[in-house]
Formats: sequence, structure tokens, C-alpha cells
Amino acid sequence: MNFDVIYTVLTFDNILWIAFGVLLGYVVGVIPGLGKGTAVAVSIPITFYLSPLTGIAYLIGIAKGSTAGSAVSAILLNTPGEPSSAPTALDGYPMSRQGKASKALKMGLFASVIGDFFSTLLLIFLAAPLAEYALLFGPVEVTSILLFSLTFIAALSGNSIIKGLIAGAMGVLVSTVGMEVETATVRFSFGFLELYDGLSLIPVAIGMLAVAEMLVQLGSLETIENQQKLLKENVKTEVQSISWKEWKMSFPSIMRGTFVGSIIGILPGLGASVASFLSYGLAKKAAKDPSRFGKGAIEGIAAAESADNAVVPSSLVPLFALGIPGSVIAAILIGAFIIQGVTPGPLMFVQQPELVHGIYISMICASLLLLFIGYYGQKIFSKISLISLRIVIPTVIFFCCVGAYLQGGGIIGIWLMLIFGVLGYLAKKLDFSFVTFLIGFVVGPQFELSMRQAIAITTTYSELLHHPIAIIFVLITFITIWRIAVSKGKMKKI
Amino acid sequence: MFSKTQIKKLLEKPDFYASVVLFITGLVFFFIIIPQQIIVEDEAVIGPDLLPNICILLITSLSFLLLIKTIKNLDDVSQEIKTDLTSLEYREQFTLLESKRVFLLSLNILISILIFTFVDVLVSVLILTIGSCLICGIKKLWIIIILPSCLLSLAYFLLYEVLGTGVG
Repeated sequence: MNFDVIYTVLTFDNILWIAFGVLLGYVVGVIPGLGKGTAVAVSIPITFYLSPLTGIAYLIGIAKGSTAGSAVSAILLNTPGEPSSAPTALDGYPMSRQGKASKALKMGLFASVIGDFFSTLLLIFLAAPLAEYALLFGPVEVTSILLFSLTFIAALSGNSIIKGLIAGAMGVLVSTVGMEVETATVRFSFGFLELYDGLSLIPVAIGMLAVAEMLVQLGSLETIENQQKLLKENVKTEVQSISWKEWKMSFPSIMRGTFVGSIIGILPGLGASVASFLSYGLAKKAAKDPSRFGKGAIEGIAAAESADNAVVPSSLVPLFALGIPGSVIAAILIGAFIIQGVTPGPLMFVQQPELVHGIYISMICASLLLLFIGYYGQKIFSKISLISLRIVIPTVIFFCCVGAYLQGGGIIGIWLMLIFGVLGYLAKKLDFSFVTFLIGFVVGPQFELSMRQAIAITTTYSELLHHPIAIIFVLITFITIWRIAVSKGKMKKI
Repeated sequence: MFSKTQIKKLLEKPDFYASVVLFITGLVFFFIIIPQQIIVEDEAVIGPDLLPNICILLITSLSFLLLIKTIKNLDDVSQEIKTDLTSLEYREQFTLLESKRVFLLSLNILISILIFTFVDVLVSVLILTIGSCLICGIKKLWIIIILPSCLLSLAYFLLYEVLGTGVG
């Protein structure tokens, strides 16, 4: 590693932007209904004016901050900022009702930082060796890996495999709008010159994530307001410390959660919700008295939050090593990388090692800043959770329009944002995974290119036998789908 | 084939409408839109319509499968109560109030886009922000005045002072 990179990262400007990202993410996470996807998507246009390292570090800071911040509204309002913080609310809210809100918030923060820090280390140690191996892959292997990732994500995100696959296929279909690279044929332009270059990721992501979420939240204005009223009336937020005994009780849950979150983060599509629920379940199972869970057990918060936050850094492993986004954040980050002229994937380690190392150091800085900002801003964040959604929604919609305009090529960006916002709303309400759609949209061009190249170089079926890795991935794809489909839970849901 | 109760149940299922719409859209794309919108040259070894066709075939066949599943699961009570881990993300309920607000907010954005294109940027932004406030049920006049003013000032600062890109 080139140690000069440390000086590049530790500049005042860079640290300030990372701190701003973490702070912004924390605030967004605290506000019920706003998630990290929304925050990162809306913030991308700003990165256009930053250096690649600062811009990407800033976005990762937002993702880290909002994941940790979503615990605040889960604990204080019983309304998780994101679904992955739902298990935090199971014990966090009872604790705040018992007058231990400060303790619960602190444990949530410490568990988040520990989970996030160790997962970042895992990313650092795992991505480079994996990338080295990935450089050996040809188009046939890349096609099969992309196919596997897409179907795996489709099968796991959401309640129905069929709907997941439809969403993934839709995403790939939408990505084919515009000029096809090899034959220069324009597809689905409907006579609009603006569509010749294809659809820009940013307005699509802003629409699918931010606008759609705001439309969904329009239906829960009253529910959240009632919770905020309850918080104003009942919950005491005086400063309390975590005792040594509570630390001892929670530490195994934190380490277990970090492990679970890191592993689940690496696997594409599973997401933070699965990690936090699984970690919570394991902590409950391992507890001496499981009946305490759900009534204010501090180790429940520790388990859920450590896993939730461990997912963010480790979900970047497939992106950095293979160029495949395994989560929404990773998918949006691809947009940010492209804006900066960087193609995420194994070649990044060869062509821009300084950037990769800079991102790693920035991520560790973000973890430390998360601890600092979360700890000293606890009281302010508790107050922010009381901001009415009636003010948040117009504000977010306004910034969505600004973002879509800046990065979507003018007014066409706002049109796209609106169309995909409504589509995203319907997808969310009907349980068609918007995550799969976005990932399909992002990997679509790469999938098409590698598929064309694969078809061109394998003129006969027997030539496929020269690509054992591809065969293994295709087989795993079918086995995974089959296994998930026949599993009891999924059969009910299809 | 179906009893009246079953038809009534089927018509209450959002999945039924989703699968029918997707199925019809798939057919329209396959037979009309793709042949019209993608012109395949003879010399192309692998046509540019290959991937769109694969996607559409997949969407059409899967939506047909979804339709069959929806019909098959009509009498399955377990489908109505979802208690698994991911159910928190499952929000299949359209209330009248929510639908009204969603429609109005989308309409507000649409009107703002049209005004942006044909009239003036400032008027468009004011309609967007004030309209959104009203749709969200803000009744206090001072918020309706201050919020758009703050947002406009912020946008001005961001676009003209920080980023240096004007709009309009």
C-alpha cells in the first residue's frame, strides 16, 4: 500500500466532506421514512463537483450515517427509519418507555460503529484478492456470474420469486433504451433525441428510491405523527451510561451480529433486513433468559444494530472485486463512480490503486466520525426525529427535482424521475422488488455486452465445456432458485 | 368455472391486475413495440433486439405464471396474513386517502414540469413547493411561506454559488 494516500485522504477538505456525509446521513436516517438509498441518490449530483475520492467517500459516509441514524427513530418512535432497524425497535422502544432511551441510543450507536468498523476491515482484506481472481474471468464467466447475481437477488429480495424475476427482467429491459453499442442501433427512443444516449441512472434511482418512498410515506403521515406526539409526552431522554454488566451481556451479540451482517452483506440481494433479524434471532436463542427479548433487552439492540451496519461495507465487496452491485447502495455508487470516470470492478485495483486505498482509509475515518457525531449529537438527533413528515416530503421532493435536473440532462431528468417515481411506488405497494429492478438496470449494459461476446466466442455448445466456472455458476443459479422455491416459506409466498 | 364469490375475491387482488397489465404489456411490446422501435439490420450477427426480446418473453411468461398463482391461491387464507421476516417491507394496501395524495402530488410535479418548460422556472418551483406543502396538509401560513423561500434560497446558493450552474 502506498502510504502517501493517507496524506491525500487526511486533508481538511476530505475529512470535512466525510463528516458532512455522515452527519447528513445520520439526520436522514433519524427522520422516519427517509432511507440511505434516498439520501445517497439525491446527493449524487453534488459529487460531480468533488474529486473522485472525496465524492465517493462522502456518499459512503451518508450510507454509514443513515444506517446508524435509523436506530434513533426505531428506539424513540417505534418507527424504524429503515426496515432493517425494525428489530432494534423491538427492544429499543420498550427501553425508551422505561426511561432508558439514552442507554438504548448509546448501545445502538456503539454496536453500529463496531459492526461497521470490522466489516470495513473485511472489505479491505477480501476485495483485493477476489479482484485478482476476477481478472481471469472472460465474457462467458462474467455473463454467468451476472446471471447468477441477478436471479439470486430476484429470488431473495421481496416475498415472491416470480415478482422478483419480473422486476429484474424489467430493469434489464429498461437498460436497453438508447443506442446499442455494437450495431449502433437506437432502441426504444420513440423519436426523442434525449433517449438516444439511454436513461441516466440518477433520475431513475431518485425516482425509484426517493420519490417512490415519499409517495408511500404520504399514507403514513398520521401514524408517524401519533408516535411523535407520544414521544413528546412520555419519553425521558436524560443522559445515562451503559454499565460494565450491560457491556458484558451485549458484547457477544455485537460480535455475532458483525459476523452475520458481514457475511450477508457479501451475498448479493439478501440485504440488511435479513441480517438484523437473523442476528436478533440468534441473540435471543443464545440468551440465558430469552423471555426478556421484546421487553427491553439491551443485547437485542446490540445484535440488530451491529448486523445492520456491518452490511453496508461488506456489500461493497462484490462491487469492488467483481463490479457487480449486490445492494441498492452499491448500485447507486456505480452511478457515482461513472460520473467520476471510474469503472468499479477488478481493474480498479490495477488502474487506480490509490483511489481504492483512499476509499478504504476514508471508510475507516467515516466509522470514527460516526462514533463522534452520533455520540455528541444524540440529543439533537432525538429532536430531529420529531420533524414532521409534512415538512420533510415537500423538501425531499424539491431536492429530488433539483438532483434529477442536474444529473438527468435537464427537464428530461425530471420527467424520468416522475415516471420512475410512480412506477417505484406501485412496485413497493405490489411487492415487486425495486432493488432487483435497479440492479438489473445497472448491470444490464454489462450483461448484454458480455452475453454478445460470449455468444460470439462460443460457436458450439461443446465449447462451453472449456468454461467450468461459468457452468458452475449457471448450475448454482438453477439450484438456488429451485432450493428457494421449494423451501416451505417461499412456496407460501410465491 | 368461477363462482361469484371467487370472481369478487379475484377482483380484490392487486396481483391480479398487476399480472394482467404486465401480460398485456408484454404482448404489446413483443408484437408491436419491439419490431417498430428496433430496426434489425441483416448483417448483424447478433441482433440488437435479442436482449429486449428475452426480457419481454420472460416478463410475459412470468406474469402469466403470477396470474395462475393468484387464481390458484384465491382460497388460501395464509396468503392474506404474512408474518415472515420480510413482511415489514410488504405494503400492499391502497387506502383512498393515500391514493388521493399520491395522485395529487404526482399531478403537482407534472404541472410544475409543464410550467417549467412553457412558462417560467420560478413559477414552476413555487407551484412545486407550495403545492407539495398543501398536499401534505400543512395549514400554517408561515410554514407555507417560509419553507418554499428557504428551499429556493438553498437551491440558488447550491446552483449559482457552489456548483456554478444556472437553471432556466
